Amino acid sequence: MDTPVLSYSTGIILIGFFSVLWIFLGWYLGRDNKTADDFQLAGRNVGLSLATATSMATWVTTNTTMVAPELAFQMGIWGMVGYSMGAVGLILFAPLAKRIREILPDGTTSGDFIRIRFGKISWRIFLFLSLIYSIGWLVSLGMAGGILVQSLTGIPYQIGLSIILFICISYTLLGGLKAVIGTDFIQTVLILLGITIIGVISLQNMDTSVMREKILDKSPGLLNLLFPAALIFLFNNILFGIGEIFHSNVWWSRAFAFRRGVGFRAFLWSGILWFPIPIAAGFLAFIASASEIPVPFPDMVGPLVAGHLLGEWGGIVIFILVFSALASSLDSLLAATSDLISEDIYKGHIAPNATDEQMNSASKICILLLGIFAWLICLPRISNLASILHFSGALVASMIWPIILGIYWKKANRNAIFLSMLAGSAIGLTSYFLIGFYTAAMVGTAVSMCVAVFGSFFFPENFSWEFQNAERSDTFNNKGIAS
Amino acid sequence: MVEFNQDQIKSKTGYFTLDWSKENETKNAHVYLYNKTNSSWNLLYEGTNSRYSISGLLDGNYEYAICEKDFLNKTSALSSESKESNIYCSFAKAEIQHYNSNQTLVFLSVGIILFLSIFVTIVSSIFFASKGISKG
Repeated sequence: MDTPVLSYSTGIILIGFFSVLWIFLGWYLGRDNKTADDFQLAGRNVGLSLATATSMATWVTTNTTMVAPELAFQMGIWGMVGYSMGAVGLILFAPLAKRIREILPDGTTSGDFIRIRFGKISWRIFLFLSLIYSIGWLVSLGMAGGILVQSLTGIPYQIGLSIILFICISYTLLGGLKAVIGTDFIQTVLILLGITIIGVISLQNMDTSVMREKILDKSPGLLNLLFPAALIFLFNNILFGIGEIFHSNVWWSRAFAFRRGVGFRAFLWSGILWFPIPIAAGFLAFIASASEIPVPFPDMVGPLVAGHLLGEWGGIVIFILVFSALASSLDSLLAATSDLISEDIYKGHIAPNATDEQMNSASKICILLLGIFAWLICLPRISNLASILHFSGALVASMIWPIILGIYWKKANRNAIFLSMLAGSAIGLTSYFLIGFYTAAMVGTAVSMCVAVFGSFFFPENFSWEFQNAERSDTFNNKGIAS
Repeated sequence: MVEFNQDQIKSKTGYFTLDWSKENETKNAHVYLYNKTNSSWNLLYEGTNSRYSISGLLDGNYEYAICEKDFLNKTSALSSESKESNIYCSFAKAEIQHYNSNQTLVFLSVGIILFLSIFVTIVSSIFFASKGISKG
């Protein structure tokens, strides 16, 4: 590899500073947590500005800042725009978030919704698919952290990975969702500042007409608006993004945590604000092609270009930017996935009568174990970032229609929904291997939609959320438990 | 001695990564990567890396050479050397064949239909809910 942009000592100082900052904030923000609801859902009282910031920051992952340039490098204009269309998922989740608060006022996880609406068999397959996705995302984030630290500072991959996971686990353990949301707000400000600085300096350093000519000469396909694989990829990525957001507990836990009436506006604004970020990050890939910067690993094209173009200060800016993006997603994922495990697996399957105190401890233990598990998988650098992420495309896409139909259609049939998730995942994964990663989510969505809609049409149910909630409320009043 | 790990590459995206192995004694040695354009070899990269990613290529056949020292520039023309006797370089060929327009159109259309189905379902559900009409 070429010489790192930042010195080893600069890397250590930056990591040290942010470690202390995030861990202190984690402790400070979470010091008033008393109940499991405080720890898992920030007391269900998050206001609009924090809600918007946390949604946007969580969706700005290291994948946004590293995979967006990677896709732009591989697929050109449509790779970059296709990635930015991930904003559509956040925007479409806005009305769903509003409805989720209405139909599940006391819900804690996305698993609650599937269990109540579609029964235990669908719930179990949903948990299985969702956990595979969450762990895949967690691993891709952990790996991105290690790669980033190594490429920018020369600190070995394993050490960088370990430090970043340690920091995120520590402050999430200390403060729960309050810490996650509070740090997300600061991380959002840093991300937006970083992107703006890099964008402005890049444009000052590059003549765009010269850049265009050089790309047309060396890599003409990147500017081709009829680039075949990129056009196939475009809608696949939109569906992938929708699938990720619609099913994942990362977003459901936010829908439950936001104050009533906030969810719709928060998700809508975060989608609008998120849209330009992958475009700004993806633009770096075009600079790489135009400047003939050698790219050994495509997932490193973003940091590599920023370092080449902007020198040490550019390296510092991109380090802070990607480090913030990484932490803002890693903490959210740790918190939301641990909620899913503690609520749906521990309480749902092992200890149904667990007390509030036991649930609080279970959440913390899950965060710790999840972090250690991700660390062990990340240690050997097994694959590139995009392939880890896209592997789960078929799985998440097969859950889009079960979520939509469960929320809005009383006739949705639970057996059809179970089959739709199973068939969508299996056939989507088959297309991943037989055709390419850019078809998996599309095929998964199509198969799952057909099975769910036709199955429910021919064998309709008559489900009522109002009736269900009234029954659950009676159970709660009579037995003192929220089932 | 430096050698490409794969000497025949096929791609449907115009994107691929060339990687090569160096013998132990030349692990940190400078290598020179060339591509062939209009029957002449042009320097693409020089350095100590062992990978190089290429993207944005159109349909066609492309040739690459990796050399352990600046052999091609010194001899100025590779055509004067026979590949078999060239102990300094390793060669690779890449064949780019993008998806055809029919395949692309099918996937694009399916993608648009799927996206619109989701969009219309959600928007119409909001509309019906605001009118107090239960769907189903």
